[in-house]
Amino acid sequence: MQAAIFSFSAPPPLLPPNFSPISLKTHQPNTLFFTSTISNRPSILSTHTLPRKLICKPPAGKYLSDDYLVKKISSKEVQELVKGERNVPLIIDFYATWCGPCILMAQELEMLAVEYENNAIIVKVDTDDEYEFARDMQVRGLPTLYFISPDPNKDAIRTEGLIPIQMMRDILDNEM
Amino acid sequence: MRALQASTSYSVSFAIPSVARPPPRRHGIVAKVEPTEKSVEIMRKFSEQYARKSGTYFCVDKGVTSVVIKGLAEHKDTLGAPLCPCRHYDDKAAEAQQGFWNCPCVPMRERKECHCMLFLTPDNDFAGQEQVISLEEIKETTANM
Repeated sequence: MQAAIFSFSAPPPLLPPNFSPISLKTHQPNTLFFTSTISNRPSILSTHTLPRKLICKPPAGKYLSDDYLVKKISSKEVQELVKGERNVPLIIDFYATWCGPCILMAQELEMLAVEYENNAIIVKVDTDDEYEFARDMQVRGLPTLYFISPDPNKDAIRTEGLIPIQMMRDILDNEM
Repeated sequence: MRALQASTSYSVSFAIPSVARPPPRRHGIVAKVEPTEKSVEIMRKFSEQYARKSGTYFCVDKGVTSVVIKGLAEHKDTLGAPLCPCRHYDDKAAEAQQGFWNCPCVPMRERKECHCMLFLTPDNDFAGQEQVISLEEIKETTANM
């Protein structure tokens, strides 16, 4: 069982007895790992080392984006987001490059971002880059998620460790 | 007048890497340093041996195992001790000295709890059937990080 520690006032939602593991596509390693939000980053397996030249404009559509939906941001941007006006919940994912569960979590958050589209803002913070910010937010275990409600009177919810996507949906739907 | 050194006696040496290694991934942005291959090999052997010893298994998704092994190797390179890569520390060097979170960490040694999902007890939903992982698997699954 992955540890899910809740602080603040939210009552802990019940973990479903056998939550099905996320479908892990082990035959497609390239899509599983998320690095930075810089597109045009050549994979080590690719034959070219120069930035991609677009021969034609890639197809645009609602479900097509050439970059990840969950963007990596700096601590300043997070603070601006939190202080600024919002009418949707904000999810902050604290991760580290070499943390395995953070990668599974990043996949889940991408799926969540597709599901919720503009009904939630999801961002991620690299704790190795933003050392002081992670320390100030008292991040210990990784991954740590902060769910911040648009309502300033509600407390934030914090979870540690890999949590099932259904739990994230429950928090977003019920607690925010 | 200073005598010029004979230029014909230079021995020119070419640096030919004996092991084909992927080039460091520096694209003008923050470079995530890769651990050395030697450390990765050490931590790989350690992981296999400890999994056998503790009766735990690697994750069904070997990518997770590979990433954690590389994280341990990276900490071993920079701090001298394989600090758990799935935690945030106030002072990494002090923690490495103290030893609570040095792999295998105290929670793992006492209760077989590995939140990195490196060592999984058989009843865990994510546990696979294997206690082995090869260097090629590690390289493949972390190739585009």
